[in-house]
Amino acid sequence: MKNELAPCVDTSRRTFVSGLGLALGSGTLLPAIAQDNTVKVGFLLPLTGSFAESGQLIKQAVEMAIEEINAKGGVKSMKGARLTAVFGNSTSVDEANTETNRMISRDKVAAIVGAYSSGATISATVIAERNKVPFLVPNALADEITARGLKFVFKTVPHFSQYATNSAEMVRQLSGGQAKTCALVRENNFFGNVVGREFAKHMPSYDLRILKDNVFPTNPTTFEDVILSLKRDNPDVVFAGGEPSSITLLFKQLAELKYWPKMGWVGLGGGYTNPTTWSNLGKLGEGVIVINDWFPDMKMPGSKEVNERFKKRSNGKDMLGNANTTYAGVHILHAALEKAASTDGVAIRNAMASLDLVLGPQTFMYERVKFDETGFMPRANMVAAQVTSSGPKVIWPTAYQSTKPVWPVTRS
Amino acid sequence: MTLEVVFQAVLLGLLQGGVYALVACGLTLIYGVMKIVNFAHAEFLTLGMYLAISAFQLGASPYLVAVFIFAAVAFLGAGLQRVLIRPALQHPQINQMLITIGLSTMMIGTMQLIWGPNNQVLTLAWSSAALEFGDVRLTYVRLISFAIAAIMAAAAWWFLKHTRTGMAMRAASQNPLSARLMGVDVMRVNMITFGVGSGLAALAGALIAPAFFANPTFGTDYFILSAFVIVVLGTMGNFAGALIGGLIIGVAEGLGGLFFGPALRQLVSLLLFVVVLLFLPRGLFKGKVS
Repeated sequence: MKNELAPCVDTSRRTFVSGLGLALGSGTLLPAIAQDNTVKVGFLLPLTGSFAESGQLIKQAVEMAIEEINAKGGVKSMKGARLTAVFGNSTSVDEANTETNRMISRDKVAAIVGAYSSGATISATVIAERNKVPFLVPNALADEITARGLKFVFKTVPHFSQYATNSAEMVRQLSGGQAKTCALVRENNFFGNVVGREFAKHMPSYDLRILKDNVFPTNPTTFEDVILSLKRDNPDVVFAGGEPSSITLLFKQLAELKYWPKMGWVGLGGGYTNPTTWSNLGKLGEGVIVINDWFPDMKMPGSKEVNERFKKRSNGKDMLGNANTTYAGVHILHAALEKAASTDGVAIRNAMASLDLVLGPQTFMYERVKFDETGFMPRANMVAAQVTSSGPKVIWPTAYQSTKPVWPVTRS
Repeated sequence: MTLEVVFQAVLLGLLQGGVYALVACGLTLIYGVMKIVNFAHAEFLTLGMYLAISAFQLGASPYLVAVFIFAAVAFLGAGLQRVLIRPALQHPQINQMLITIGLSTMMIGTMQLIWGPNNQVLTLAWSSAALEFGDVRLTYVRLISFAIAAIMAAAAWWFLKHTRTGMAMRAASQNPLSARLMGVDVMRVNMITFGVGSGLAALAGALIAPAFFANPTFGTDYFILSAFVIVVLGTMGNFAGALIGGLIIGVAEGLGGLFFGPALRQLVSLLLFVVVLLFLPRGLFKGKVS
């Protein structure tokens, strides 16, 4: 059936486009709501390369969140506009920058979520800020992300410094103050440097002496040097950051070279909570303690249910490794879009800044969503879990314990 | 810094170097005969790892199937050369190299489609068992990889020196035109060379699979830079050079990591590389191809 209005629509679209061209000079480019009423959101993730395990798991969580939002009516304040994801690869800083620019100029995303690695996030957020596109960070930890006075950046994950202080506190409690020495194992990248810096700053106040800061290169073919160094220094506890690939290799070689710290191994960051790593390592990973802001067996409303729903999509993998935080992030962004009722960057930014949520899908891990003036969402304590033969089980703080901790962790 | 720790680092470096050498041999062979750099070489390594892991999941030991993986990938490599690279023979060599770059991207994508982007591991029941003397631990996995790598390298060497096809390959690498005039079917030799070269890379992959993990970009991320360095160090096209170069780089990295820290381990090997090239610009064997 011929649409008699078609010529009028065509003409007005032409005028709209030329008007848009004129609007370019004013600086703010309104992301177009496509003809079929969708709102595009960009997602920067490491979808290939050595961090792909993490990126792909997070991607599944994003898709689950978007499906749920669209099934419940999309963005109701924008006439039920559907959310669609535009994925971009952030395996390196350069790539993240290119993809951010592409998402903003070509895909006209209303907001960006990402970028998993702190280095890429630091850089991509600057580009988003320049273009007045809100950037939500639910999966990169460096404190610097919200410490630069950027107005369009929001962070829901804790600062890394909190990981440092909480894990030191946990070690002090678990060891009854017996643990006195520690060593660091971390990657030679932006996040690794943050790990090194924060631990150097905070460990003295917990009576822990850092014997050595072991730095390994990105994509290491071997961890012999690190392990030989740990063998020599013999710390009570090892604090480590890394990604699934490097962790897998490291733990294989720990078994090969037969080294284990005197009391325990504590892993920090999204890489250490990725479920594929532990299912791959099996017995080799048992006893490792991982610090995170959430675990599926925590007693929070809807925790178990959302994890079960996720496991159906992910072939049985738990929603960890920042898949949980990014999933929650999508729902938080949706709330901001509802409040802004527009795809204008400034409107969404203001909506995010004024959010105060105690209800909604994200309550499975966040009691209250409220950003401070730097764009950071202050959080309660971290939670620690210990890897067992049936997956990681929460052991600390004692209030959330689902199983008794094994400490010290010994290896035959 | 005890002597034992240094000894351990040297031995581990040698074992690692043996695997590097096997990867580099294939690359240098292809360059020697066809005068093109195979930028997809790392992907054949990764393919070998994946095939070993899949075979293991079906119940076969990676060491038993290693030779079959070599043969299978050699056939695949020869076929790919026939279909993708030979048509570009009339064009400048740079075109053929660009085709291998495209092949690399295609292979990474295909492997990701077939096996997924997640890391996959192959853990043998005796993965951590090792030979111990004093404080030094050498896992059987690495010792066996080194042994098989050495045997296969020797076999390839023998093949080059003592069979007609091997001699044809060496003739083609020294002077393709004269070789053709002598009745050598250079087209066929190129195909076989590419096959053998990629097969060797895949074999190396199958051997290291128990000690590492596989993901689609493993070869490119972890091994290819060292492979290129070794090929140039040992003189491009020189088979023995690749073997010796591999061992040198392996030990240099091991000692570098021990003395300067893991982040700088490649600094030593690359610095060594630069110094050698300053005095011997065409590599250790001064430009002579075997």
